[in-house]
Amino acid sequence: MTDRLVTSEVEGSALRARLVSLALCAGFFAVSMKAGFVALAGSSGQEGVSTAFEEPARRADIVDRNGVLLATSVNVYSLFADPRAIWEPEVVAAGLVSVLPELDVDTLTRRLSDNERAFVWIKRGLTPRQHKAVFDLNLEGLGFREESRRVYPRKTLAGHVLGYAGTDGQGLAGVEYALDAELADGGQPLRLTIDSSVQHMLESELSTAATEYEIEGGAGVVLNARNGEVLGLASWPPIDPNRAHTLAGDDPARANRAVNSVFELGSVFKPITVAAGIDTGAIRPSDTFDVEEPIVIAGRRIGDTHRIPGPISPAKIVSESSNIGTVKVALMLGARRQQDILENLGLFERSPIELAGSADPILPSRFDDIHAATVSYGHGIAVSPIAFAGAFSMFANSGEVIEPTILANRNTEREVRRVVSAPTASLITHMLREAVVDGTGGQAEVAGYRVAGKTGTAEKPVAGGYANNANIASFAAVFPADSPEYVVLIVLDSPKADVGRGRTAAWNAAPTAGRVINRVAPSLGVEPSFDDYGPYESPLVRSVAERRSTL
Amino acid sequence: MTVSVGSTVIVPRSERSIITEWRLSVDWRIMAASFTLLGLGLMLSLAAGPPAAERLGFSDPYHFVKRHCVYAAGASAVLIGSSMLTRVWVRRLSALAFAVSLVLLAAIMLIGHEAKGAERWVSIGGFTLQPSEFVKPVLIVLIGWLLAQRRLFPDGPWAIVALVFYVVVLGLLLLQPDVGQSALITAAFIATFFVSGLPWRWAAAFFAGGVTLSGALYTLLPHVRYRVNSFINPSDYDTYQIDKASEAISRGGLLGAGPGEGTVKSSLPDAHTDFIYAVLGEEFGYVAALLVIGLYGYICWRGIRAASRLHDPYPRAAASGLFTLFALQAAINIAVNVSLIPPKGMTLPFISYGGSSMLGIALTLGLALALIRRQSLGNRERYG
Repeated sequence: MTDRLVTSEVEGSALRARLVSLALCAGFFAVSMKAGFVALAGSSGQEGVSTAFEEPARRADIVDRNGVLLATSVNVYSLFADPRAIWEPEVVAAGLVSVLPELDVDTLTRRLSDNERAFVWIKRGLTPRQHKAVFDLNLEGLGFREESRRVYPRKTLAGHVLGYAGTDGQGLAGVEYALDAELADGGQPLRLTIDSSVQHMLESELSTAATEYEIEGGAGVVLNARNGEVLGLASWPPIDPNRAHTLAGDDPARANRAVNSVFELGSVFKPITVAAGIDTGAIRPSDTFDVEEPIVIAGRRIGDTHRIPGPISPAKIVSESSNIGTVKVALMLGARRQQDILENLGLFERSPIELAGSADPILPSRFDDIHAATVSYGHGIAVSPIAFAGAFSMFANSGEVIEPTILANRNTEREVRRVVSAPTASLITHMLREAVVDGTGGQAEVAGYRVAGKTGTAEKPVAGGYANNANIASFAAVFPADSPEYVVLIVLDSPKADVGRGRTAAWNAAPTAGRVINRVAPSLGVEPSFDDYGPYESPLVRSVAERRSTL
Repeated sequence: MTVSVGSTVIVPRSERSIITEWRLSVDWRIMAASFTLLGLGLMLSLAAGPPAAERLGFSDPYHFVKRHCVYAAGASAVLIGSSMLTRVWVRRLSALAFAVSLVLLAAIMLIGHEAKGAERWVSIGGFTLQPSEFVKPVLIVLIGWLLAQRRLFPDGPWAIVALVFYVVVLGLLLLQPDVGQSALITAAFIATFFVSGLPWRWAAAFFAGGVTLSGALYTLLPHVRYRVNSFINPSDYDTYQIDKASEAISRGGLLGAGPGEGTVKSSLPDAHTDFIYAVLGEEFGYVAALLVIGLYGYICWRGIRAASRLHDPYPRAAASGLFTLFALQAAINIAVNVSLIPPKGMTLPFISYGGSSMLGIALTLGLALALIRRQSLGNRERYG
């Protein structure tokens, strides 16, 4: 090898090395340019990366009348995989199972091995903790999609009212379903008329009743009669909307018995019949009725559970819960006027409450004498508890009924109908007070809160007739009796008798309603009063009632 | 007292120790740039280490910082130690290390530890080692030497042997699969070959082969396809890492959010390794980033310039290849961070956390420094 050869070879090679150096420096220059672009222009050159997944509007919260949060949306991470980008499905599956033990490693391996697919969900709705754990595994081919999940922080509280939303945020029951579009639009929280504390007390007393009377189901409503706002609406068994998806389709907890179910409520209808009789002038408060002998209509014999001596007043019919007396009032009233008042009370239609699946009433096929007679004391007609509570509210709202509502800021007008006159309503409330002070509703009495109410016990309808060993027990009340504002309705399905007590409403629904009132009245700001609430004395009301009856 | 004439250092007979010779002949500017980078790495490990330790469940927040210090010390030792080697010893050591690395790479197929979807690690006495980090520099040295032999013994099948070495390593890397390292080593191999006098028809063949291989990789390896696709169509894929990195760098702006003010380090799993540049960009800004890029560029430019002035074809080609390896790794890593190219899984030389990577880089640069070291007369005589 000569020196010249080396030299010429060196020059060519040196040039080549310089070229390599130049290329690399050009690379560094390009990198620094791009780095500057990213650092200073604030762009990665990939606009739209973050907006590629259209983020849906956050579903609106649901709050109670005082702003207590009942339903909200939280961000969760949903884990997906691109099986095509996964090198070793077994490893990825094993890694995932190590932090998400609920997954099945074999199923997962099979799904991750499916190279035909570019997207498989692995698990929806990971908690931040799980998200971090998976993230820290740093496995190939996995990705997260940030999703919104519905959370009900109060668990079972107002579970049936709220309903629940599915994985993709669509409402499936309750308010979530009924107001799905509004909630999906996002924005301001949806405010309900529900009062969390009232709701809680109502639910807890229903639950106590469930334990004590071994009921198969139950419903309770607390309503502000003056404005139709539902303060509490409960159904037993309770439901936790957070876990609704784990319940079977026919799980008894799914039904909202206060809205979705209808019951033959029995004697709680009697005050309505008597009110219609007095208001239309068919009877007068001072009339008396002989209820000692059973009455026979269209070959059917209607009697009382216990013998009531002597001719009795309409007030006594209510307080002693006489079927015979009520039927006699209904006969004087006539089927036409009877239907008018029931229709006016909204009992011929489903309740307009803004909840999914408000149940249609079951009405007699025709209003002949026998049906008119049974309907007068609440048999042969089945209505939902919310519908009946709405009807019953006329006694606490001077004879008018207002469409019940669950929404605190409803902007549409609600229908207000006068059903009976104010004096009639007041008179009947007096009778209802009598029924508690000295009648079947005695166990509903709460010292200081002047409960006025009526028990109802109906044999539970079963296939082909009525069960003679299962009742629907109910208690409908208004309070405080001297200036009624609130309605409480308790319905218990098949309460059991026990030593020293029967299974009629007087022994279960009445005390339950009493306990509810005992707890909610103070929180509703009702002033306790221990003055004697005497017999009905108002000369004005009497004169109106008598004038009407003479027309 | 010493006198230097051209690239030859005249060392007095009385001062013929290895240290003295090294001290007088090594490129101190590249050495200084390297240590600056190592220092920056230590500083950034203080930023990125504690969040990583917390994320991975280490009770000691300084777990990674401490280990980084140890690795940096090890890297310094390897850098200095290997730069002391003579060209002959560079080749001998490389041959030995190449053999060992090949065995380890092959062993990985059987006993390897899997990390992040690929088998790249071998566990030795509790330490995990990534042989691919060491095989890269020694392969380049051997290639440089083999190709240089073409001048001395034109009849030998040197180029073929070099090509076989390269293909074997490439195959082992692709089997892991480690596409990033494969690409890197291919680039360095081509650079070495090019400097050593690559015939143009060979260059054409390499180009065709590269295109074919890329196509094959894209078609056959799902995780390569995923990465490329997700880079081209980011909206269809989860581009979390590069999105976060871009976001952080953009947040840093020109002067940075300030030391310790970074957010990306707590949201990116690889913030202390592959995405350390994003941490740098966020906390210290574009100016600091430019300084780092400048240091890499400077090492590359100065190193290859020194290599190009060498008369001996073996160190010239080998050193050019080693500097290419070093510089390209830095360029690729930063390019990924600023989303110029798809994610590769490559560390930032001297700055990223990682034992194998740091020692491998130190070895790369140390060998390169040894090769471009000005030769003492004594040395030269011994080699010639």
